[in-house]
Amino acid sequence: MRAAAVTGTGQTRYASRRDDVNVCEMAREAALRAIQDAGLRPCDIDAVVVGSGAEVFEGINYPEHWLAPAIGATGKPVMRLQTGGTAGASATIAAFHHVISGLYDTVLAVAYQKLSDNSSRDGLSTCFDPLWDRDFSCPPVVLAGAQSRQYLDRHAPGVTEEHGAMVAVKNRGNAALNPYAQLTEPVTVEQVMSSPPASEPLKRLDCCPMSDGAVAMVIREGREARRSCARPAWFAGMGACSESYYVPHVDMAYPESCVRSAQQAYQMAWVYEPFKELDVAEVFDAFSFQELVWCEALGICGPGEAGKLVESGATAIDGSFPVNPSGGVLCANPVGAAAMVRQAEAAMQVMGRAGDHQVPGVQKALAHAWGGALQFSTVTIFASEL
Amino acid sequence: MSKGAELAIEPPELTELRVQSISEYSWSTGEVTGSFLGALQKHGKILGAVCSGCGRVAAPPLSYCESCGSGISDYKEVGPRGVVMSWAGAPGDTEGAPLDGPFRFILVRLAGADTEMVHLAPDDERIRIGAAVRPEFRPAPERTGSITDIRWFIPDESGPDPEPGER
Repeated sequence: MRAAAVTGTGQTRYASRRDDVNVCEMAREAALRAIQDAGLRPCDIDAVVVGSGAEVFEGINYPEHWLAPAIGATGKPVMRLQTGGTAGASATIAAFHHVISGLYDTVLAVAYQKLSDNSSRDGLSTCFDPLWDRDFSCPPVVLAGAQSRQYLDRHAPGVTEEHGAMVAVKNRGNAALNPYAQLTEPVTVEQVMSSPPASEPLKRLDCCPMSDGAVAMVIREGREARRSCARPAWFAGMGACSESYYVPHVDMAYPESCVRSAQQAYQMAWVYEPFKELDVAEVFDAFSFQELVWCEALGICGPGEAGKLVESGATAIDGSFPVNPSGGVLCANPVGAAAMVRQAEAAMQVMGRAGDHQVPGVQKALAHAWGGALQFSTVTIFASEL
Repeated sequence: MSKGAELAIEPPELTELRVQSISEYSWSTGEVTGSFLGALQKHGKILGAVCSGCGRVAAPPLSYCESCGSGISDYKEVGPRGVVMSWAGAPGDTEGAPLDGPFRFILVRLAGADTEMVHLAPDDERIRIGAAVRPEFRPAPERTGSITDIRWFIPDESGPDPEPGER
């Protein structure tokens, strides 16, 4: 297997509505930034992989045929992957496979979502299976409400609703340091706790916004990566796992697909004690309690310990194990892109290019995502050395 | 000079194309789901499927076992009593919500089943994790052969709350 590394990343700013660009132009923005960040020109790219969520979000089926010329894929192979919230990470995984297989040396992975093109409530309902689920199709916030309820119930009184609020407060604070983030206004625990109910036990400030945005990464083969980049982010570990599509069949407070994909990634990266050996993590916190659930399922702490972890300040940007220094999904959620945003942010931390939200001295960074109705999980570990 | 100034082109006012698209579908239910929906509509019974490999009883039934991958050996009637395994409040005032007004979204495990199902419940304090519930069926003439032939699950205080996972 050949080595592969991220040598460039690009993001758009995330906003509730980007009226100034269409889908193609938005994806192009991120793609060109990533290519430029890698010190390349579009003609240096050998192949392109696109990730985005359900077509129904934009109402454009088979969008890659419209998108390809805008992101420099003319004359090159292009494919698109769709695995819901993990779509962006799946695109990266395919691009990584393109490179390590020896087929291509330089691959561009692009992910986008323009949620404002549709009332996503309508769009999302058609993602539910039509026989069992669709008649009860509730917004994701209700699913996350049930997940949070199950998690709180299992670990009471060790984890409380205030612990969720602490995650929201921390991540908003971090987002203020991230020029691409959508929600950057600081909030307090009291404000989160007294914000209007979204889906009990979730309050409005426990929840992510809906976003338009795109992200891209340039992934290169080992020799090219070393030659073209002073500090590439090497792919050290990768894990992906799926489980039941049907919510009641998933242990929402400790999803097996997350546990397993972490185990795969740790095994590949020779990580035995994640809390000690990793330096930073970007996890898919679409709702505040999810950051706690993922910290436990990823083995960053034990089951029921994540409340104390956030309370202790360990996961703060200046703590011993910063989680979501970018502000996370809580501060911008372009669904099909959000998983690749986690990877790009983790890669930027390793490359030392995270700007104001850079954590000093990062050697190993983890990126996590979930998709479907908690069905898909991906874990990626980047390292400064292989 | 800004773009188009020479041709007196003004900045665009039209920044959106609004289109409503509607498609009609007819989804095949398959034999197992079809049997479940038929039993629900005609007899007010809830069927689970018994896995031929590991014996797990899935309700609602699937023709394959999500745990071990085997096919199914038989159907088994489950419930109607069940236990709430998780819930979330839903305002119900959102577009396309399944009910008007507030309700609770629940995961319910029916007696005799090893899996849970998604359904709805009234916005009632008694709906909490571990609470016993029973289905409220629509009157037979109103049933359409859909999972919504069960209107929702209501609190059942006819006996002690079952332990989660009790068979």
